[in-house]
Amino acid sequence: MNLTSEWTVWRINQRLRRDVPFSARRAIRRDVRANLRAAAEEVGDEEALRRFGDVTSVAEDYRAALSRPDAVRVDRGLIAGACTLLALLVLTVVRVPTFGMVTRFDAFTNEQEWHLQLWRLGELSGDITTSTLFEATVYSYSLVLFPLLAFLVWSRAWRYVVRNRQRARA
Amino acid sequence: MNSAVGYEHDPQLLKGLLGLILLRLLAEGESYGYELVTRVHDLGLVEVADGSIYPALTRLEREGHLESRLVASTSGPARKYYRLSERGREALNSGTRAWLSLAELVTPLLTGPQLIRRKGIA
Repeated sequence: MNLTSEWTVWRINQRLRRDVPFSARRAIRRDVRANLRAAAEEVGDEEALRRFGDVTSVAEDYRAALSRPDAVRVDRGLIAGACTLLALLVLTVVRVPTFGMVTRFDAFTNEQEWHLQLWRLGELSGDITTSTLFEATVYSYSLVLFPLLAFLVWSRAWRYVVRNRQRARA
Repeated sequence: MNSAVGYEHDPQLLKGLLGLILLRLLAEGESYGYELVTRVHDLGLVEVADGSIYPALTRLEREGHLESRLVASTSGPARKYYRLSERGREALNSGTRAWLSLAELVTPLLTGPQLIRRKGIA
């Protein structure tokens, strides 16, 4: 398998990245590699690639054969959920110090701390006594709820739910 | 000698028939992608690009017309061997009947001495 053939496999994979699930793309990569290798053994690498045809057209055919636009994309949902969880965890370690520039948060009431409660999801606050201008606390509810929401949206689960409801009504 | 061999066929027309052709070839026994490519080309259908046959096989497999298994190859990655499923056999039979019926209707029209005149046109 030469680099040009591997480049062809990669280009097909890239064109299918948005529409075809990972497992199906892995099977396609394996299949194309095996067939290109078989062709190359018979007619040579260059001719095998020439006979293979236009990569965009091949990818389009694979997309037509395998893509399910309204299907739940678990892999996409998991990535979105993981990214959201990571963002929340990063938020919990973020702390902006006052650098000694702030002595009070309210000149009239001499408030030295502030709190903003975000329902049961978290809390934003600052405290002069600990030289903290801003810090965030993320409650465990959020660590479950937001990644779950991200998963549901990005995996297009809402379409799955709607479709099932429509079937139930029918 | 088949007179159709050597004639340049319409790739779009072939694409529509590719599934049926592959089902027919696989009715003779299991085979893998590139072997099917060579068999399609041996039929004289050299316009069919190798790359259009592999997605067609994938589609047929997804539709349940084909079953597949991976067989280790001595010269590279494992090859995917396809064979006709019961559903595929039924699809081949119905597809063949549909094609013959269509050909029966269209052939006289295309090869006949006169085109059929529409009513009301002199």
